Amino acid sequence: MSGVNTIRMAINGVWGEYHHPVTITGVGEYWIQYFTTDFAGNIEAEKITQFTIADTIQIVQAPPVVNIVPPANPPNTPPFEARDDFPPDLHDERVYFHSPLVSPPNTLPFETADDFPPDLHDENVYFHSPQIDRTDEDIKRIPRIILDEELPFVQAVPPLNENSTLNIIETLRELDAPQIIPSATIISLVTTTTPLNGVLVTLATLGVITAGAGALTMSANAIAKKKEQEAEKAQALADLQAQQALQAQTSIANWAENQAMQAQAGQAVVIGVTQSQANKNHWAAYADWQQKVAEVEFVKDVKNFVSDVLSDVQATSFYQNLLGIASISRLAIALIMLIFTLNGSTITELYTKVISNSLPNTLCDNLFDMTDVGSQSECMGGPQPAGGRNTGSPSGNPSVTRVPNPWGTRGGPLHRNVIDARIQTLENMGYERVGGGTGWREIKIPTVGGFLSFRRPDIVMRAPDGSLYYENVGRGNLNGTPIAREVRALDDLERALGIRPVFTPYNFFFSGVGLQNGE
Amino acid sequence: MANKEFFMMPDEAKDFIQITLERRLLIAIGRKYFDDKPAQIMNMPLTQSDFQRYDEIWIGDKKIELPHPQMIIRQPLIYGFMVFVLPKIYNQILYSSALGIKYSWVDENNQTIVNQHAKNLFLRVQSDLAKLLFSPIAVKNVYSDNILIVKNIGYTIGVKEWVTNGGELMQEGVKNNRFLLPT
Repeated sequence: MSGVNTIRMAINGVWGEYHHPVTITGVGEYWIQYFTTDFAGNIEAEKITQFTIADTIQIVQAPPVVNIVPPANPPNTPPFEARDDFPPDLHDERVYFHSPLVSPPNTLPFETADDFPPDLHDENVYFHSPQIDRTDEDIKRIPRIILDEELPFVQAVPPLNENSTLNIIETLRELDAPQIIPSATIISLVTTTTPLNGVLVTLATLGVITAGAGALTMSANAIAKKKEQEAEKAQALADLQAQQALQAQTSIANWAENQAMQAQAGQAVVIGVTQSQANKNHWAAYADWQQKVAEVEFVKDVKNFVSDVLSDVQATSFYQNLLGIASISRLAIALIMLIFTLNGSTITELYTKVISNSLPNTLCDNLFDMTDVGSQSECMGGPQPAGGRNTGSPSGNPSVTRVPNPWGTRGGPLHRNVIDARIQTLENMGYERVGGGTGWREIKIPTVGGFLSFRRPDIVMRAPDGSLYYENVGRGNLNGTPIAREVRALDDLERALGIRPVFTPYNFFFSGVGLQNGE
Repeated sequence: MANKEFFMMPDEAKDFIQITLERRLLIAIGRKYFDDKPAQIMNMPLTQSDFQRYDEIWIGDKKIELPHPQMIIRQPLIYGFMVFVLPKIYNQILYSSALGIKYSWVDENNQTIVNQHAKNLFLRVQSDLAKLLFSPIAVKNVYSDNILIVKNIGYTIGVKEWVTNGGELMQEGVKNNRFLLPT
């Protein structure tokens, strides 16, 4: 009895019978294990084959908005003088942050458009700009790329209707006259913008609500002055927007013109993800996340608000003043304010703004006054959310902006991706992973006498010479240096390790802005 | 993520791993740095030569259908393996050991997913380990002479004897820190 009876094989550990050829199309590493059995029952020794299917992604991208101007000074030195500089001293911060500052390298990092996206694991991308002899005239013709400015931090808030009550309340609050709001205004707003106006009509019929317009008057001069200021602000904003639009058009025109010029001259065009684009992606993801949290927390806020109004004497008296009604019950107030929220704003925001306006200005204007912590927390939006820090899923009041680390202890997606990319790069250079990165533990190091008692470096690798290599990935300034909190972490680790860890700014990593500008 | 640092003598670590493997029905994979051929440790009981051969022992559940050991160590999160960093002694200095695992990850929808089986396994092994350890321990920075009392870094009886006989305690790569035991 001879001949093959069955063939068993496993792809990445998943075993099965082999009947016909298998096609594998997914990107990644694969381990194929297989063995055969014959009709006599003999089992062949298991064999293993490994192969990798590389990632081939085609990226279609709109042209970045860049200003292209001739170089102010001709470049004179490449980032690394000779190939002898490789491998660079990774503990030397100049390798990362202090390439020639004034002059850009005399060769562009990516010679052809085919090089984009750059292979982040290719050391040549970062460390070996090809050295080509060029004359000064050639160098002057090389365009110098100045990327547009970094996007400012934009606080994500739930969308509001244009005519929502929150906006109106906000407008009234800015008039610095919250105590003289005509109650008729509020009532008319409610009755015209909410589907539950029948409730109010009933209340008005019963005499519970009385129009207090006569009792509470607003200064006509103040209104006129405010309107003038708003008109000036609107005009200034329109001018600014027009100016920005013109700049954007000019930038795009310059970019297109230069691209055509380069194409005509047979030169390559540099296309890359700009720093602003990277920031945009990051903050867009952050805003989406905040929006989701706000939606989930809305129901909780409704319940909390009603219970607050029903139990808080101070809030009740304020709403009574606000509506101009002294005898209105708490239940009616809660009902009215619930109607307000149906216009698109959360109760928490409304409650926060109204309550903070009712408090003495000295407490709410000076949030750093530590003498009255309770009032301060009310000014900032009520009690802070419960739960430990860095829980990964912050709960509580969505209007509170103090979220220390919404993504958890390992940081956001960009942070994690940069760590993994750096680990992969170091592994290609012959380093071995000890800790950090996806799926691995983090090494905990006591930092005696530091800002914190313990620190966990983002990356711990073992260098080919056997020593340990530490690296932190964090947010960097525009010139690539670490921001204050990252400096504190590096200081703490340096005290314990006796060597300063390498720092990689994640917000410039994939864009390579610092390297392109030679900064 | 969990990582437990502690001080343990090499022979104590060998006995602990041996007992844990038998008691919890686990398997072990030995890994040496800069060696691309990690292998499952099949010969039981463990010998001292295993500890000289390997730098780390990866411990996992026997019930999982295992791929190649190299793949496990490249992606320990998927298979729920935990790492036991073996103690080393150089120049009368005992370097710390560690028992660590990463049992959670963030998926595409930014949801945190926990490998509960791996987490429970780690907690069981950690509870076995905790019974052998004493704490607290003091950390002294030789640069600034500051001292920090640490509760979550333990030491065994053998380590106490080691220190009594003039040995030192350090964490590998952390040059300015020295660990002191209470007298």
